[in-house]
Amino acid sequence: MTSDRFYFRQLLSGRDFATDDAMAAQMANFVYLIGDRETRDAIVVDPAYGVADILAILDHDDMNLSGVLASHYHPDHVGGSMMGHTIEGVRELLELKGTKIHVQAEEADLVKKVTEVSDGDLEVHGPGDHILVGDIRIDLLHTPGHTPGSQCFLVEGTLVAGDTLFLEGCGRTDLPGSDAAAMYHSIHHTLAKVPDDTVLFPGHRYSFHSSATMGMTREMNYVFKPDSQEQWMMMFGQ
Amino acid sequence: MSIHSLPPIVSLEELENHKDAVFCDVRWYLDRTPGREKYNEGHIPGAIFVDLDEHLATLPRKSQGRHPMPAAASFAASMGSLGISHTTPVVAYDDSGGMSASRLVWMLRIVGHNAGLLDGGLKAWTSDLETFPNVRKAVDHPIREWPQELFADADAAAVAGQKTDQTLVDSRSPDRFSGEYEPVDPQAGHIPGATNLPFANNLTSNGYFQSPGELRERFEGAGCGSEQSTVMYCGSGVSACHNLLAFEHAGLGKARLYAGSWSQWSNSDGRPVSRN
Repeated sequence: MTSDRFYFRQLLSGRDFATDDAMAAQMANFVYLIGDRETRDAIVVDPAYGVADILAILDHDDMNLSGVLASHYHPDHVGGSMMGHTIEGVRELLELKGTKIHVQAEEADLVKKVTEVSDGDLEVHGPGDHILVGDIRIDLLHTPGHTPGSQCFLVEGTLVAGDTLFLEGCGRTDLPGSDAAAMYHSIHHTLAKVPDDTVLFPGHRYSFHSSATMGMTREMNYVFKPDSQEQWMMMFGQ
Repeated sequence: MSIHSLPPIVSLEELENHKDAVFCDVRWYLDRTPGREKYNEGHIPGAIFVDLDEHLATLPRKSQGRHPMPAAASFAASMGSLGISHTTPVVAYDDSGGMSASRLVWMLRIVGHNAGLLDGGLKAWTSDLETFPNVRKAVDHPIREWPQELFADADAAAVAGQKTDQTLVDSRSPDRFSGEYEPVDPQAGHIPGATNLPFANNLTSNGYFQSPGELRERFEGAGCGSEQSTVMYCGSGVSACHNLLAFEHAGLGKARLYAGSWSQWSNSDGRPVSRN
């Protein structure tokens, strides 16, 4: 049951912020704002493209930024250079508002390299850690596969999944640092513990719908069809 | 009810007292004609387009029906993305007597949102239409859980069809109820024990709702008890919302919705089917 205190917003790049940025619209990234309506604390998941716009939305909602959660290091999620474009992200956000970026240990060096933030800007976590935003607890699930330190966020009956799991398909496992076998374990073991009525909120809008229950996703998404790692590797392995 | 609360069915004249209401165009067609195209051809000035399939349902599947209810968190995110906050009054319309717009109004009303269905729909608006698509800035829309007491699953619908102190209402047309005609679902007929009250008969011949008194006679005449003793269904949990709003408009309170409806029931193994 969702708490009345739970503040949760799903923002689509190019539509809800960075509206003049063609790349933001094309990439269709989701940014999430998660917080406690009582204490007015909030964190932002994967700020990129238009960080001033994102901060203005928090301001408008009278919420105070208390941290950043990075699902993984790719520039469309944390900023940096990608496909010849420079994307705003956590570095520009920290210049506007000093705060910490929560990352998994395996992702720390990659985030630093891509965004040029320093060790002091990072709060490094391991699997099973959680953070509190006001009184709202966010569990950090280490879900390697798309990248070594990819993480999903479980909070108040929602799963904010970055590029680990989409409504249809999962994150690519053919990129540098990807690991198809690790992705199998993340989806079929780590995320298997997430209840069916938890609502999956992905890192991109790659489907007609923007969110769906895990139960529906398990029923419809082809990544749940393989019932062994061998079958999985036939589909996703190199 | 405060003076600022919208009734379930609201006339254009009554909207004089609700100048802050946002019009939502919820046109949707069973033949897959895109509602958004109709919206772009002309809509009530200021109206935004709400997509039944995208915003008011999750993916169709045999196990759940053609328009399963979205998760509460998904619905809240959709409403927020459309620029509807929890304090934004909503008036919804379509051009099918309220068949699809009812779903939005009912979903909002059951979580305490101020919302009403425009009596007469688009044709009640006799002034010029607008063709420019309206986009409202996305806003915060808190998640409010669906009240489970206002829903019936297939087993509860089966019980409502059999128990004497409950009523199961099928809101589809008489030919679909009887099983003479079935355009979309794998079996023709209805759930045993159901009473047929086609949603279209809530309207008079000119397309406006009957009076609350007439609607009350209609439902009570069919044996409906008040509140949750009545369960409504239809093809996919959409047009049943028309009956649910008419029921509330008649002063009978909030009945229950079997959201899976015939699209789920007729796809389930072993569910009995009546034809007559």
